[in-house]
Amino acid sequence: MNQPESTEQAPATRTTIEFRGGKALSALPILFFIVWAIFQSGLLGISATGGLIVGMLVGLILGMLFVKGDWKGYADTVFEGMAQPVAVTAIVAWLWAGMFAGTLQVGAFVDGLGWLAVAAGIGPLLFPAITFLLAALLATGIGTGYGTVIAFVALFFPAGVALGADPILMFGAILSGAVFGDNLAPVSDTTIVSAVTQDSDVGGVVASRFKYAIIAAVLSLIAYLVASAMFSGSTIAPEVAEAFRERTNPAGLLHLVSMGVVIFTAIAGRHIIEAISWGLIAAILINLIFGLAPGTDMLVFNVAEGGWAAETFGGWPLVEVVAAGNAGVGGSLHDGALGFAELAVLILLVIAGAQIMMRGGAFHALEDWLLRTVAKTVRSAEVVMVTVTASINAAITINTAAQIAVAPYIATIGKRFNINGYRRANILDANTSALGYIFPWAGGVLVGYTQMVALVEQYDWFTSDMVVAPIQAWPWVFHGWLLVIVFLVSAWTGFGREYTTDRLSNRSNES
Amino acid sequence: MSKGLFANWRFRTAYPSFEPGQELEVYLTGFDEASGKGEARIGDTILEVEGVGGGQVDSLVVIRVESFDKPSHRGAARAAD
Repeated sequence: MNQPESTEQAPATRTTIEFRGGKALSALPILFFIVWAIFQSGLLGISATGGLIVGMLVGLILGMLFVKGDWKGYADTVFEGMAQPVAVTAIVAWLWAGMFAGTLQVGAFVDGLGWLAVAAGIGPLLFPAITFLLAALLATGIGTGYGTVIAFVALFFPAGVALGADPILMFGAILSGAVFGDNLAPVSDTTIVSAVTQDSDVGGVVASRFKYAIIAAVLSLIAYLVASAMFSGSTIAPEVAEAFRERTNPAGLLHLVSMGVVIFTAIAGRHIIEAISWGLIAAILINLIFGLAPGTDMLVFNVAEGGWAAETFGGWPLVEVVAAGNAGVGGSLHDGALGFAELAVLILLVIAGAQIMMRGGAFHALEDWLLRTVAKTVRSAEVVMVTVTASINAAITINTAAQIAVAPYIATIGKRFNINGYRRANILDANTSALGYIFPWAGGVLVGYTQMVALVEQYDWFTSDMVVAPIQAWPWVFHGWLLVIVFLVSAWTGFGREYTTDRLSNRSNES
Repeated sequence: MSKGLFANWRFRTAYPSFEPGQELEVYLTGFDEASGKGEARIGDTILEVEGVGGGQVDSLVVIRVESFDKPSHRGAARAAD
C-alpha cells in the first residue's frame, strides 16, 4: 500500500541476543507458532485467530527461557519488533478497508454485482476467473493486497457463492488477485521496498517484472476456468440461489463510483488512508442519498432501554433503544473495523517473533551458510534467492516484513554475481508477495477468513459451512504458486536475467 | 532493448562474453591480497581486475576489458581512468 515511509526501517542485521543451544534457538518462537498453527487449524480444524494469538504468546515465552544472561534484551526486542512500521501499516489497511467494505456491503453492492453477473450471464464457471481478474486489477490500482482481500471477500465472494461458484475456488481466486497486485502495483509497499533495497527505481522494477507476472496470471486464469469446470456441482441450495437472484438490484452498482474514487485517488498518488477515506465518504453519501442503507446501518448507538440515556437520546439520529443485553455500538463502520482487532494483535506478536529470530542470529546463520555452500553458480545463486525469500516469507507471514528482513541478503548474493537491481528486486518481491497469501497462518489468508466469518451474520442465507477455513485455501491460490514456479524456472533457465553489464538499475546508476 | 513491458523476454546465458576494449560498470566481487588483483564475476564469467583495492569489493567500479577467452569464460580487465 502507499506507505513509502515504511521503507526507511533499517534492516535488522545486528545480533543482540544470545541463546543457550546456539543461534538456531532464536527461531523457536516463530517455529513453535507455525507448528501450533498447523496443529490447531490443520489437525484440529479450529480456525480461531484467538487461538493463534495464544500460540505465538507461548512461543515467545518458550524462546525467552533459552536466553543467556539478562532477559531484558529479549523483552526489549519484542517491543522493538512490534513497533516496526510494517506491522502497523498492515493493521491500518485492515481497519480502513474493513470500514469501506462493510459500508459497501450494507449499501447492497453485493446485490448489484449479483444483478450484473446474472444480466451478463456469468455463471459459476466464469465467476472465479473473473473474480481473479477484477481482484488483480483492484489490487494493482490501490496497491494493497490485504485491502483487496477484505473488499472482495465481503462483496464478490457472497455474490459468487450465491450464484453457485465453489467457495474454496472463489477464495483462492481472490487471494491470487491480491498476490498479483502486491507484486505489480507501483504503489504497493512491497514494490517500493523491493526497489529501494535493491538500488532500483520503481518504474523500472514494475516494467521489468511484468513478464513474470503476466505469464503466471495467464496460466492462473486458465487454471481457474479448468478448476471451475471440474467443480461443477454447486454447493448452494437451489432455493437460496433463487432467493439471491430475486433480491439482486442494479442500484447497488452505484458503489462502483465509491470503488472508483478509491482507485483513482490511489493511482493519483495519494496515501491509501486518504484514498479509502474518500471512497468511504462517497459510499456513505451514496447510501444516504439513494436510500440504499439508513444511517443506522453504518453507525448506531444501541442504548439500553429504561435508563436515563434512553429517555434523553431515544429518537435522536443514529440512536436506537434496545433491550439492555443488546446495548453497544454497531453499524458497518464499527463492525468493519473491529472485525480485525484480534488479527491486529496476532500480527504484532508475529512481527515480534520474527525480530527475535533476527536479533538472535538464526536468520543470518542460515543465510551465510547458503551463500558459502550452495550459491556456487549464478543459477544456484538465483535458485537460493528464490527459495530463501519464499521460505522466510512463509515463516514471517507479513510480506513487507519478510522482504525487509531478507533484502540485504538478496542484495549481497545478487551482487556477487553482478545480477542487476531489477532482477534482484523482482525475485525479492514476487516470492514475498506470493507466499503471504498461501499458507493458513499467512496474514493475507487470515484477513480473508476473518472477513468471511462476518458474512454469516451479515446474510441469513450464508451459512457457516460456506466459510472456507484457512487450511483449505492453499492449493487453490494458483497465481501465488505459479509466480514462485515461474521464478524457479527463470532462475534455472536464465529467462529474464539481467546483469549489471546489460544495464544498471537507475538508482545504482545515480549513486 | 531494455525498456518497456515486453523487454527482456529472453533467456540470458550464465556465461556472458566481452570484447577487449569494452568498458563495463560492475560490482567488484572479490579481491586477492596476495596478488593484489580484484575479481569481477558476471554470472559465471570471471574477469581479473587490476588497479583496484580490497576496499572496493561490493562497490561499483568502471573497468576496461583487456583480454577475453571465450572458451574458458575468463578475461582480464583494468580499472578505467
